[in-house]
Amino acid sequence: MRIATVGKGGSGKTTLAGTLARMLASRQEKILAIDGDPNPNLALTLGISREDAGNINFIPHTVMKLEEDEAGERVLKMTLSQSDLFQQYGSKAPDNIDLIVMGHPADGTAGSG
Amino acid sequence: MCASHRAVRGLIVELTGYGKHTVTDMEAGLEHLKRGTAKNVDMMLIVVEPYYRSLEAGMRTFKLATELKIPHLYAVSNKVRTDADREAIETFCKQHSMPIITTIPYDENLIESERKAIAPIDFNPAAPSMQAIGQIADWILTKG
Repeated sequence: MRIATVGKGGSGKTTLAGTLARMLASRQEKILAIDGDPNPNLALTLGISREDAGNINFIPHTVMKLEEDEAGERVLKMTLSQSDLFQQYGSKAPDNIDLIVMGHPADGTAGSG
Repeated sequence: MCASHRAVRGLIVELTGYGKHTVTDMEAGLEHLKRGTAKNVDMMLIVVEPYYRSLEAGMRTFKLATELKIPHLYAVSNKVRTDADREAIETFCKQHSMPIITTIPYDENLIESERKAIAPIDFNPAAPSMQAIGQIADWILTKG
């Protein structure tokens, strides 16, 4: 299932996302966690140390490119393979969770929740 | 739509099937909820707190997500200190037909875990807030 947490900054959505990921993963479910909010807190709530969280490579948005398929539809394509993506940008959290963190947009209006 | 929002959505699609579940902490605000989000999200958890601006923002997200036909859509009531807090959220959610999947109490364990830079689940897995979130995990596991 693809689960998303939303809410105002400071609402606790990041704590919810990280904890839920850990709970599902501890029951032998393979989990991919995606930090789509440009703040590093998901890593911490997953159980990654502050030091390691500080060394995470953010994924630049250029990793996805708009292309036209055969039918002329515009589709988003990944510009590198899944294994390259995880090698370059993936982090490991407890309970074998994989984490990827999207890069910060320049505007800096993100919440802290 | 901003390129980074688009990239998050695109990545969720590309990486679906990588794990059994993906959990995405989405950016605060509504602007990233566009047509197409429903194709990329099966379950949306809208976190609300017991004060009006939070509830109102949650309700707007809920309406939009309903229009987008996201299959499993729930409010998560958070930082609930008193029965009055709980009732305020329940009354508001009922008025707007928002189902609440769980109620997370205000929990000092969360404050303390942050102070100590330990994940809440490692700091005290038996904390009341952890038990409440566990109900969502149970729900997801019953859906496979």
